[in-house]
Amino acid sequence: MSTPRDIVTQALGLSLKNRPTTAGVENELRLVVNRALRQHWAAGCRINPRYFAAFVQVPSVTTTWSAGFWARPEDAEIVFQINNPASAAVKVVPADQAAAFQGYPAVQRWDGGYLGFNGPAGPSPTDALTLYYARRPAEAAAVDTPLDALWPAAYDGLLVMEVAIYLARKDGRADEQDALLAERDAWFTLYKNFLEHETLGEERLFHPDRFTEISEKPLAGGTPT
Amino acid sequence: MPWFGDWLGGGGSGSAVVGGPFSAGDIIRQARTRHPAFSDRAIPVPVALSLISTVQADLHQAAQQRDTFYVVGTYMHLLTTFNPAVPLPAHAGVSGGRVLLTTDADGTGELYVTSRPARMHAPRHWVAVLINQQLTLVGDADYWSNVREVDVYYAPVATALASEADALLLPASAWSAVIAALAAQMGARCAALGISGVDVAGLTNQANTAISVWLDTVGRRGKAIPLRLTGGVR
Repeated sequence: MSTPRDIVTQALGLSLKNRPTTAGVENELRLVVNRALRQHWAAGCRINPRYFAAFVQVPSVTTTWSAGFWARPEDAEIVFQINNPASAAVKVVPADQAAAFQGYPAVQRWDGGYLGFNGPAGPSPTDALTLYYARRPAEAAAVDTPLDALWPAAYDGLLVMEVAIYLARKDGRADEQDALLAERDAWFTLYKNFLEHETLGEERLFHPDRFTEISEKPLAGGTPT
Repeated sequence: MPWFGDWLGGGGSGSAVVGGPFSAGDIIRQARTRHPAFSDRAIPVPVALSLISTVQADLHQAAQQRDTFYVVGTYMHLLTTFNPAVPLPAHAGVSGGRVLLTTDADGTGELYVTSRPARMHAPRHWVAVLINQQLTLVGDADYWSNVREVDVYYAPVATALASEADALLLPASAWSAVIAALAAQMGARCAALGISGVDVAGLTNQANTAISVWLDTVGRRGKAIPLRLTGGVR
């Protein structure tokens, strides 16, 4: 797995105007790598949340809400399934429509977590719920710390381009930016295509459960084409 | 079969239990397979139950109009103490009935449910008229003194389905029609959600065809010609 130093080294090689880095600059660029990783990881979660899947059992907190409150995991980008202790799916429903779902285990979104209704089908206020979610990446603490192991290393080029764009923009090298942005977008397309097609032949009864359009684009480094 | 009620096998007093051979969940799962957009998320179960309740009520009423005996429950009214008012359960129609005479040896007689103007011309003794959703026995206590029980055959109403486990009232022959009709309703909802590629008109045409075939089966055209010794009293 690559380290931020690997990414930065490749980015520096993309322009003759880049200079060798100092320790301070390396640390600055490590933060740029982490930021780019978070950004593209989040975009990837919206395309294929199960690729970045994790789960955790969340205990209930009843000190404020007697019906039970389950906090969202701190590293959760997208929660896509909640199970009760009997491994039955818990539906997430709007509070004003809870009556229609009384026959099912159900919670509502609340304060970055989930609030129970204490309805006949539960979950009961003392249940621990299992949350399945697309997680956020672990960030590299040092320039030689490997990137999160779940990051698909084949698309390191995307992070390299983000660092190169950052350097060009910081130096005011507008003439280089357009070419770098175009190459960044090409890498993003490859990354997006990978997440859309990482497993083929999945049989489905219904439409894929997408959160957004598949043309999700990166946010930083200028407006992508 | 339970959807006949228990009158074919005789029985005690009280209302017959009526339920069809398949559950709301069976039908909803079948209808969902008609289009890949018909997922739980697009059509949550409470919505599907609401749709299938309406579909069933419409089909049941249409079938009842074509054959008053197509699905029948029995309401048993004891005459230990004479009471001419028979408080029927909620019903989509009343088909007739029978009277049980005082002793088993005396046997049974036919109960005729007639319109009020025709009641004096009914061919047998035991006549009742339906007024304001309540059946009223024609005659006084002396007239009905050798009758111990009146069994009324009625078509129950199709009540709203509240869970996937609830049984439909419709009989097994309605399988395709009710699935197609529900799929058409699901299609309309998905189209309203802005999901493209749902052929609402095509689904509706399929539903109309399936409903038409089934109603023909319920009515005369799909049946063997019934043998009648005498004319009806309708």
